Amino acid sequence: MKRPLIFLSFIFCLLAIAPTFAESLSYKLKPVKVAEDTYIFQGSKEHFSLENGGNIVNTGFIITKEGVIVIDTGPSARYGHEMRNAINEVTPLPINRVIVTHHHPDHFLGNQAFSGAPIWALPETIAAIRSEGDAMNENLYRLVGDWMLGTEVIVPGKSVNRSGEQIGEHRLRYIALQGHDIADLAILDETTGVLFAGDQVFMDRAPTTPHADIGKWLESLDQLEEIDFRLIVPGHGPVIGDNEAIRQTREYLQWLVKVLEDAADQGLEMTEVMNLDLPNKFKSLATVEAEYRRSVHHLWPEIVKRKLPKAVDRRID
Amino acid sequence: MGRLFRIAPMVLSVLVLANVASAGAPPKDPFNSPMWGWVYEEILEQGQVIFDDRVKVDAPDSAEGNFQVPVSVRVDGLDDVTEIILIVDLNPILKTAKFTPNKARPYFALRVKMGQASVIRAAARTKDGVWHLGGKYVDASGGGCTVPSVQMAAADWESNLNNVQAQIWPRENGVDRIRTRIIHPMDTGLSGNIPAFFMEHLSIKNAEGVELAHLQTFEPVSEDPVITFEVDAVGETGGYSISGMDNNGNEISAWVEKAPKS
Repeated sequence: MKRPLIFLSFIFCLLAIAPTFAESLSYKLKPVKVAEDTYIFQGSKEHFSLENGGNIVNTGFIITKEGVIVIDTGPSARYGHEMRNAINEVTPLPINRVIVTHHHPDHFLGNQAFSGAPIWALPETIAAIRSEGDAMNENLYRLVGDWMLGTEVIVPGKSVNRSGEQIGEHRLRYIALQGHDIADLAILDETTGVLFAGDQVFMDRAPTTPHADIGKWLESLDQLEEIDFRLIVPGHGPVIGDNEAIRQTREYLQWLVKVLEDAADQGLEMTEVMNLDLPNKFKSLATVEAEYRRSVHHLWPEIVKRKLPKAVDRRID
Repeated sequence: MGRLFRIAPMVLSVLVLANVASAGAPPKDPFNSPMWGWVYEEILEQGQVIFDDRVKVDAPDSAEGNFQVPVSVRVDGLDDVTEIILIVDLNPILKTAKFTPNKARPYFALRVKMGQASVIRAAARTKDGVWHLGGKYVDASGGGCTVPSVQMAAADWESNLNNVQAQIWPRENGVDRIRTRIIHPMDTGLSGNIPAFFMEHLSIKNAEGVELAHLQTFEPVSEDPVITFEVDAVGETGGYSISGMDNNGNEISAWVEKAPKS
């Protein structure tokens, strides 16, 4: 009889401690003004961890006369709420809308904090959040723990189905791309020249590839390079006023494809490919060692499938 | 009744442990795996065990998605390896593959499914009956969010079943590396009402029908298995047969020829 009591009291202790610990967690989000009416919250260049709580992403907002346009909502409900509070300190204007760039968890799991405002995304992104959102949410709970408490998936309700629109004094252009994810939305504020590139573009940080189609991604980068922007807000890493982030992302992706294709031609197997030395020029990219290995996971099985020749069938039938 | 069921295995394991202790307790597992006792008794059958650095298991520190976790095993500096068993301790089905290197290097590589973080170990048995163990701990708590494509959802899956892709790469020291990919769903039987359906055997033979390498595969091997062997080279030209069977009796039979030297 005693043992269940001891066990129960242990559980109660845990329950008592957990909320206190969780309450003390804060992302300490500070908006940084990058252009007229335009602010970002810049995340670290790391991978998800218990320490950073998933704050590895850049989110942003644009203040217009018709209200605030929020671009991506971060990795958790907590992040979203902190973001909304920080926005309220900059402007009393209401949230006009939220726009989600793509369906990766660090970009939309803060949606909960913006109840009352319409949430927009590309139709493919909406479908993907609907089908994979819960699994992604659970996965982030595993990776960053208590930061996620209370986080639930809110599927965007409004489909971005036009090439742009005027909101207050800001003219937005919507650029539907592919390649980093199954669908990627870049948003150009033509009024200020700020390009919110989402995860199409990484700066000083290794690109991630869990749903990548590198060929399509490279085409999208060409498209982005054609755009007349004054400032790029990459999905991860610092903002930059020229093409350097596009160039870095392209150079890494081109190298990645080539190294994997060459390894397949040489008959290396998957663990050997993961152990390859990286070129020095990429070693300054944050998380590149780990991100490269993750990319081998994502991309290698398809390359082997495509490259291995058919053997002669000898089945009697 | 429920309590009896819970207690029975405990009593049994105490009895079994006592038995082992008298026969010589298993050496301490460097990975501290909770399944080590079971592995020692059920898979290694309480044989003599040495934890041996010459048995090298390579796998990523952290698995990105749990459906295609790469593992390679190489025994380096041990003669007379008669078999190598691959074990994922914390999978519901622990035994993953059993390799017999008849005329092959004590090396193979494949991909496995993992239910959770676990040690992946290789037990290489030498002619004297001793088990030499190496392993690697792989964190499989996540990091990706990939949902695997389920080939059986496609209408034409059956027409591709057991189709074989393969290629030969001549290596140093008279060795040919052979990689083969076999189209097979490798269903574990642990998901929904889908029965276990998996490849059980794979052989590499020369033109005379001499078996160079044999791999017995179990449910945890990944869908569409991709397997790499290193066998005694057949010569400058020639090829190898790849044959096997799944648990429903479907045959695998193919031939791969060396590419002519350019």
